[in-house]
Amino acid sequence: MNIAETATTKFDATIWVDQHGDFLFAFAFSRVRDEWIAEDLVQDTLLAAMQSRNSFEAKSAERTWLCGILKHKIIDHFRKSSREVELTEEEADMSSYDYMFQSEGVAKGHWTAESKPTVWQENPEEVLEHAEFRGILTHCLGELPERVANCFTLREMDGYESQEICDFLNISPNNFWVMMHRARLHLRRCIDNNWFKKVQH
Amino acid sequence: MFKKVFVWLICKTLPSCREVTELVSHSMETELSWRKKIELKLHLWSCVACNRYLFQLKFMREVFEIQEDKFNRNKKIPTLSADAAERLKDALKSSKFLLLFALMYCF
Repeated sequence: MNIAETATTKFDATIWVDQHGDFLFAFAFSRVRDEWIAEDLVQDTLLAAMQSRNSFEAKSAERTWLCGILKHKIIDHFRKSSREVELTEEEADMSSYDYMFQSEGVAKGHWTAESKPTVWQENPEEVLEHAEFRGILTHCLGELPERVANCFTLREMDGYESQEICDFLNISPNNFWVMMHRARLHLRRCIDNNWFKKVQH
Repeated sequence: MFKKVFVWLICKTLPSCREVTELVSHSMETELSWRKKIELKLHLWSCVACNRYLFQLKFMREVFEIQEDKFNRNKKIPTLSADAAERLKDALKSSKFLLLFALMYCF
């Protein structure tokens, strides 16, 4: 009966595309960093929303409701692309960061002169005003292996707890820490090189 | 001589910067054991670079937080292209017909 009602009411779901399309797309894009996948996810979300429109309670805003569905779709997408339990060779390989630290002598394991973190003068609010900086963030995340980047965005953008992310991605806490460590080493270095070490802005 | 021994002792007993970057990241996810905490504190107390590392990880965390916040207030976001919007609308429209067909088929 419910389905029949949904189909017969003259509700036009395309209005969602106009009202929330950009928002949902941008949300998905910031997580998956691929326009086509983002668009697919938005489409899946809207289709799912159409079918469960009856369960929508006017209590929450329509956008929040749609965004909630989208979040589930994104996690499903991550889960699908994260079948294997162990870290892949690429994900576990920390040797690509060897160059940041001295390999011998008394100071073995200490920062090399050119990799040493520099002083970051601006504050987070300020840097985010620059479109170029926001572009660098996306670019730097895109350089990481996919699962490592997914791990990082789930933690730092969506604020999920470590344990939840381990469940989503089917990884052990230890592997989660390795991935987060890796993501941070890389991102910090990438942001430092591409933004703070360049003085023109 | 004494100074050399002291430096050598510190280098040998305390974790290196490389290990500390891992500890710092770890400490942002979970509570460290008291032993690790002391090692980290002692290292940070004497190492400017790792202090910056810790500061910058917190900086990045804040950047992503603020970005999310701004995003939710709908500022400065990438947008759906006109083509993509059309494709989505088509998908929604055709799914309606599918639903009707499915219903007709069922009853």
